Amino acid sequence: MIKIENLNKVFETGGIKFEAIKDVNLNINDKDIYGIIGLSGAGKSTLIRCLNRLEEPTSGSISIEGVDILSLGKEELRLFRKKIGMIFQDFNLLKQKTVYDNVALPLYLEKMETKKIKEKVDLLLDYVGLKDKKNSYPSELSGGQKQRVAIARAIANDPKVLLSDEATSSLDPQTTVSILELLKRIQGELGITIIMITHQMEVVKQICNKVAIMDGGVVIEENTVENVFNNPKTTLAKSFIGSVNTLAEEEIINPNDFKGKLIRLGYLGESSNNPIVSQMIKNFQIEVNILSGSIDKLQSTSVGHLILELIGEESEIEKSMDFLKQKNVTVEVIE
Amino acid sequence: MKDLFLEGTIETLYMVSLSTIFSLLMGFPLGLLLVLTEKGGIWPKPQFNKVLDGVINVLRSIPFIILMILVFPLSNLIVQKSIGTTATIVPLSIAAAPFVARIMETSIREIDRGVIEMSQSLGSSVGEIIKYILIPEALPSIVSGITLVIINIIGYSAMAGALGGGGLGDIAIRFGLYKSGEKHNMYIALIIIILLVQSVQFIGNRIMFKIDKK
Ligand SMILES: Nc1ncnc2c1ncn2[C@@H]1O[C@H](COP(=O)(O)OP(=O)(O)OP(=O)(O)O)[C@@H](O)[C@H]1O
Ligand SMILES: [Mg+2]
Repeated sequence: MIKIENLNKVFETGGIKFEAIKDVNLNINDKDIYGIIGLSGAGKSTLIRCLNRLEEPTSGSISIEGVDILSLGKEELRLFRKKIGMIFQDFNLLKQKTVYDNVALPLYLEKMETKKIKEKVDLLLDYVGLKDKKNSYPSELSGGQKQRVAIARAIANDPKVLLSDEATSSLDPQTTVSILELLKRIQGELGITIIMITHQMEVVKQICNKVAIMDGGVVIEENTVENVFNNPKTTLAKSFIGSVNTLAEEEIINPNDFKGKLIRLGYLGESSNNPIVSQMIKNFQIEVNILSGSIDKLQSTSVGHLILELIGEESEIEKSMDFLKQKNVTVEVIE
Repeated sequence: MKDLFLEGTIETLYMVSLSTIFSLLMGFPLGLLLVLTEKGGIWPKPQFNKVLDGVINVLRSIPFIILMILVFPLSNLIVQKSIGTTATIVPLSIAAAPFVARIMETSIREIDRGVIEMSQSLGSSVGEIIKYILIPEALPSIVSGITLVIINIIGYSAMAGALGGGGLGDIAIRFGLYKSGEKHNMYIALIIIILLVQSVQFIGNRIMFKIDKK
């Protein structure tokens, strides 16, 4: 369990103060894969770096597994950091060292016996699928392979928490998927909590169960991934979701071009199995024109979106919309 | 005649190798400290850092010939002599040490900030960062720096010849300036110096090429 309360971070450069994190409160449960999404400069990296105090928060509190980490002294902090793995966008591998030595680094730091190190590193390399690259140098690896090495290194100490700062941002889509699958497997098999910083909703959609959306240092929306996809509250959340599904079309659809009323429906997995739209057409005096639709597969369920034009009497349209709401579909009028 | 050059070469090699070792022993820790203690560094001590930086700059700006004269008393104290091949090792080492410090500094600065943060995120201490990150990652760059240091020391050692330091520089200056009939000896000494510099550069490049995995 990670509890972040009233967290603030103020940077001061040349007398000018800049609030990078403003009063952030988050609760992250054990074994969550918790996504934190936001545009560039939103404060995501600053926030995640506060969690292992690579950045010192200005005020607030952070507790990880019941430990108040802001109260730790230098030496205590150093030891505590060994329980929190971290991976980065640019991998941060030692360029002059082999894959083996890179993965072994945390174990060298633990002063583990050479024989035990060898066993563990072999196991880890096998786990991330890089057994045959043991003696290669980072310059001989692809981006995806480099991140696998970094992941193996990050879990070498059996951490309880893994922090990932844009770990897939410099990888191509296919490699991204394979790295996300690896992280998902690690979370499942090793039972660790993962905090994923990203600016790609695709990443959140694929492996996260919860998500926080950050803007200007503030968490503006926070919920389960299903709920955010089904019913995004903020414009930013909508635009992030728009970047994953065909909802970008929503911007192309101009309500003035249609004589009827445009509505946008969002529904979760179970409701998508019922023929709700055809029931609506049968029950009410309206005509329906389907403008766009999509279904997104999430971690545990799927989320569908439909944009419809409803043509008919205002009262009939109202009743149809109430009907949809009763069926657990979110309805939003596009104006 | 052959003995003259053999002896000169041996003297030069003796001066250069010992001065290199001593300058590395002094300059290495200084360069390391320079990076570690800077503001925002791994072991920040800004006050100390300013002083160290100043001292290194001052030392670097003293012309070698003057430095030699300045450290006469020190040479006397350490090797009981202020003139001669062994005595010259003292000013040579002192002159090269700040240069080594700067080379160490730049080599370490080339390391990605992210790699250092990575090691901090693994809970490494300052000592462990030096041992596992800074030195190994900067090594190829340090080796190429050491090559430069040696070449510089060869150059200084030739200058030291003018003040009775012995070696090839001494031969070149003696024959070049004073023995008008035997100027060719100056050229021979010069050629040997050039060959020395070339071989150091060649070997340095080879080693760097071999160890650099970037
Ligand atoms: N050391 C620093 N000193 C001053 N300002 C900083 C510092 N680090 C970050 N900032 C500022 O804080 C804000 C948030 O930065 P941060 O790196 O957390 O953003 P981010 O959400 O991770 O962005 P990106 O997606 O580009 O990585 C930015 O405006 C940045 O300029
Ligand atoms: Mg960032």
